[in-house]
Amino acid sequence: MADSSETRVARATKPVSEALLNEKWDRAISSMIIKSSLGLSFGVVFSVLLFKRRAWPAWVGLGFGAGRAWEESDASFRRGDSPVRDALRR
Amino acid sequence: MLRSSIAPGRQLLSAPVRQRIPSQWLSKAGASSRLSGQRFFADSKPPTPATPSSESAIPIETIPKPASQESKAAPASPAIAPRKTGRFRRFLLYLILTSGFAYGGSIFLALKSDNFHDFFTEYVPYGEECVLYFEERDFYRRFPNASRQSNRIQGTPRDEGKSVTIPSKSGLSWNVTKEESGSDVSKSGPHMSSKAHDAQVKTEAAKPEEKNAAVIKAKEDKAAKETKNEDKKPVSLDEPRQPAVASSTIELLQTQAGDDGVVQELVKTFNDIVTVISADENSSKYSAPVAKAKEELLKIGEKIGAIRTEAANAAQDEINKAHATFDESARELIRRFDQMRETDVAQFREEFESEREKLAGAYQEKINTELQRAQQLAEQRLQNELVEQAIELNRKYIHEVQGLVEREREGRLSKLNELSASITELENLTTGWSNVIDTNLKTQQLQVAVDAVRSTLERAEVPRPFVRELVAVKELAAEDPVVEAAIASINPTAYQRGIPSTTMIIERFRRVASEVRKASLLPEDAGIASHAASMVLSKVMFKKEGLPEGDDVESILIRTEHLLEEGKVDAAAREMNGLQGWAKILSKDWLGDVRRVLEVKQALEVIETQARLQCLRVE
Repeated sequence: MADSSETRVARATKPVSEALLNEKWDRAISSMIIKSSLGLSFGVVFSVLLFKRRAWPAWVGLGFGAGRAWEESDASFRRGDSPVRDALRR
Repeated sequence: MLRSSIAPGRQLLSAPVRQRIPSQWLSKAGASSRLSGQRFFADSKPPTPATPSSESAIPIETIPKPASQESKAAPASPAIAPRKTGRFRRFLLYLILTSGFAYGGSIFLALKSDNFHDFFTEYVPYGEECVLYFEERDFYRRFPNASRQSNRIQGTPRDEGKSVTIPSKSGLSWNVTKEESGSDVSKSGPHMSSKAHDAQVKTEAAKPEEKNAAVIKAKEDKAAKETKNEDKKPVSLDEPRQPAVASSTIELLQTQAGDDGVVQELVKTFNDIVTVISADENSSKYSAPVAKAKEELLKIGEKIGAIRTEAANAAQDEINKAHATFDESARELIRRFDQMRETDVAQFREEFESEREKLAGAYQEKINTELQRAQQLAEQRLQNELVEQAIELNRKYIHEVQGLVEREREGRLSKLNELSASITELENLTTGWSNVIDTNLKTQQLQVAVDAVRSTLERAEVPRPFVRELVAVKELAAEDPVVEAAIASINPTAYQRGIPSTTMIIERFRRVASEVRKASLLPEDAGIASHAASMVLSKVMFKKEGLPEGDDVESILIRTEHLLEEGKVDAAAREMNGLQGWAKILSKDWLGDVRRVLEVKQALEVIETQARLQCLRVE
């Protein structure tokens, strides 16, 4: 992210080519955190409401969230040089 | 809904009311017509008091029918049973009268208008017959004789009632000539045959008789001729034998060869007589006179001969005399002719002489005139020739003079031309020098501008746009095609945003290289797991030293770094261009920058060399 501040060129439209992978990594990690936490929270709520405070619904929710994040980031890495496009952000 | 449901109900309610009104009216009318109704019923029965009640009991719908029937009959209704027959008769009378009038009127109308005629004959019973009858009457009145004709007309079809057969060759045919030949009246044909046939028949009938008659006639004629011939024969003198038989008694006279025609005739006649006499039985009686006559005749013949000889002698004499006279006159004529000819010859000779003189004179005159004209012509020709010679001489002189003048002039004018040529050369030289000076100035300015551009590029810490400098260069170049092409080859983003300096490029390369190294182990179409593995593993990898050979990412990076440190940006860019996959993607921006820088440098070099070349070209 330090590169973008230094080079004024192509800052607005797309990141500099060497920062492409870094950005993808940033996106992947953030989405992993967010989605897994969302899934965990859903799982906790379900466990409290339906499953008499059992632990496994929380784990399942976390797994769902993490898996979703993994899949998205994987897809974004596979897509090559096209900049990251998140379903949530855009 | 309610209203609509009610409305038909109202109608239903009102309908019987309305029906009832006519029924009531009818019942009122029926009061009068009741009797008439009874009358119909009572034709066979006497009226009964129960009928009104029964009529009132009749349902309402059934009432109007009898009512309508009886309403017509209502005016005649007050008929009572006793007066029934009278009324019936009157009714019959009216009926007949009205029908009669109606028929009469309609027949009249039918005779007048065709439309009504059609209607009447079509629909009214016995209408057609009536109309036909009247029409026929009208027709007979108009043509009283028509009845007979009509009979005849009726008769003719009876004749034609037989089957009429048309012969196969009758009627029109395409064969014109045949038809004409058939129809030619003038030719003899069957149409003329009746007379001819009659004639033939007649001839045939008359033939036997006529033939017989003709034959008989011819026979008779022949017989008559024969009889005539037989009658003539004894008389005819042609027969020499009869007289020969008769000459036994009386001798015939012999004609002499030299005798005259008259004598011979006389002898003939006498002989005839002799023969006649000798034919007679008592010829001896006449022998003496005949002999006498014979003698006489001989004498006469002699006399005639003597007279003839005398006459011949006299004629001979006369002829001789005439010959003599003719000879004399001929001689005289010849003499006269000779005289005439001599005189004529003299005259003609004189005339000929005079004519010849005249002609000679005329020819002489002509010759004189011809000679004069020839002389004139010759003189004229001579004069013309003289004039021509004079003209030619003049021309020659003029040519000579002109040639002399020209020669003289060329001698001096050539020097003038040389002078003017040297002057123009001098002018060209001066102008060329001024051009040289101008171009020198321009090239100097151009070089200055290019230097300015270069300095701005090198001095810049941060990439800065150099549009102004480039514009100056372009203006100074003054539409030099080479310079223009060089400027056009620069990417517009380069001079709009500026280009990084070499140090900046090297710095950026270092960053790019670290990133590329991270992605150096990535396979094609790598997911997040392989990315993570590549990141981790690239940290562990050894760095290569020196100048390694090979196509792997690490060695390319190291070679590029070396090249950049040496200052060969061009070669470094070429090396980096050989990267594949993620490494290429990551280094794309850096490559773009390097390319722009290279473009600008190249363009500047081209412009400089162009300027230098111009300097050289001038001198």
